[in-house]
Amino acid sequence: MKVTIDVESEEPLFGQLVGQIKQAVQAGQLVPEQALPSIRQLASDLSLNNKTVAKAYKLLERDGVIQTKGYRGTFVHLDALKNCTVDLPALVQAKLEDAVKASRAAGATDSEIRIAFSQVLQTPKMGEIK
Amino acid sequence: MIENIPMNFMLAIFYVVFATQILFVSVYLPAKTLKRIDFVRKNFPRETHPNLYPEVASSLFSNSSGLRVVYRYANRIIALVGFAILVAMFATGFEPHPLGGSEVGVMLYFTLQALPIIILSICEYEQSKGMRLAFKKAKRSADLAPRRLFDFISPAWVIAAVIAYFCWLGLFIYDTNLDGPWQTNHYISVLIISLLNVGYVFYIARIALVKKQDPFKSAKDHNKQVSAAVKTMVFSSTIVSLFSILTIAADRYGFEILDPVMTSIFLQACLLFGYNLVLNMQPVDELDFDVYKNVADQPS
Repeated sequence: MKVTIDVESEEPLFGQLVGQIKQAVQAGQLVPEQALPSIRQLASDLSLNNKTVAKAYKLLERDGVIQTKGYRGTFVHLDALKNCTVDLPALVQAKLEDAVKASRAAGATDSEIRIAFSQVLQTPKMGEIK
Repeated sequence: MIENIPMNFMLAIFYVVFATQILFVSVYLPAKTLKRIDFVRKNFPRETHPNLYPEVASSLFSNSSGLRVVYRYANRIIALVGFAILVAMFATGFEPHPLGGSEVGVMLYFTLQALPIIILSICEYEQSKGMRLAFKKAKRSADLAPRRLFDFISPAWVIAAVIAYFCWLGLFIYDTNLDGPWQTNHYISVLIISLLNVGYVFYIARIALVKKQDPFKSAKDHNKQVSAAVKTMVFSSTIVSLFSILTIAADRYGFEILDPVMTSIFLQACLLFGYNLVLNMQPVDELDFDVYKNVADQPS
C-alpha cells in the first residue's frame, strides 16, 4: 500500500495523508491491527517535516482510525472501518447549525452570535490541535 | 603447542596475511569502487541525470572535483607504502614480539588504508545531503508499512551476534577474575565493546531502518541499501565479539605472537562483511537510475 502526496496541491499535506489513510481503510487495503510506519520513517520517505506526519497521525488517532501502542508502534484501529465513516466536519457543522438556530430563536443577532462564537473558540483547551 | 610451530612458518603466515591486507584494502576494493564510479559517470552523465549531481555537494562523480583522481592515487601510494613495509620487514628479519604488541603496526597501517574510504564516505554523505536539499519533486510516494529488522536479516544472524557478545562478556569476566581484582583497563574494555554494540543498535534502529538518505532512490533500491546496512552492523558486531574472544584466548594460552595475524584478519573481515558487502548487495547495473532524470524525462 502506497501513499502519495502532492506538495503543490492546495490541500494541506497532513490532510492528504489523513484522507489517503482513511480511503485505504475503507477500500480494505489497510486492515485492523495492521502496522503503520513510524512518524520519522514516513516523514523521511516523503521528505516531509516530522511535525506534518505527526499532525496527520494525531488526527487519525483522534478519529479512532489508528492507535499507538507505545514502543510497539502505530497500528490500524480495530474499529477503523466504522470510525472512518464518521464525518467529523459535518458533525460539527450540524451541531453549530443547531446552536445558531437556538440562539436566533432566543433573539440574538448574527453579530452577537459571531462574537460569542469567537470568544468560545479562544477558550484554551488541553491537547488542542491547532 | 605454539612453541612447536617453526618461527619461519608463522612469519610466512604473517607475510601472506599482511600482503592480503594490502591487496584487499588498497588494491581490490578501490578498483571495485572506481569501476562502479566510472560506470555511473559513463552511463548516467550530468546532462541526462541531473539529480545525481547536486550543485551544493562536492560530488565524487563530478569531473571537475578531481576527487576521483585523489582517491585512485592515494590508494596506489598507500599500497606501495605497504609493500615497502613488507620488504623492509623481510630484509631486517622482523619477528612479531612473543608477548604481543606488534599488532599496533598492523592497526596503524590499516588506519592509513582506511583514510580514502573515510574521504569517500564523507563525499557520499555530502552528495546525499545535497540531494535532500535539491529535492523538489512535487509528487512523493512512500510505502505505508514499517521497516522492521527481521525484514532485512535472518533472526539467526541477530541471535548469533547477541550470543557472541554475551560469550565474550562471560569469558572476559571469568578470565579477568582469574587474575585477581579488576583494574581500570578491564572496565574500559567492557565499556568500549558494550558501547560499540549500543552504537550498532542505535544506528540500525534510528538511522538504517528510518532515514532515507537519498530522497530520489526507488523503494526497491532503498530496501537493498537498508538490508546491506543492517547486515553490515550485525556481522560487524559478531566479528568484534569473536575477535575479542580470540584475543583473550591468545593471552591466556600464550600465543600472542599471532596477534598481528589475527588483527589483520579481523580488520579484513570487517571490510569484507562491511564495505565489500554493501557493494555486492547493490550491483550498480541493477540500480534504478531513471529516478535521477528530470521529472519530465522520467518514465510514467
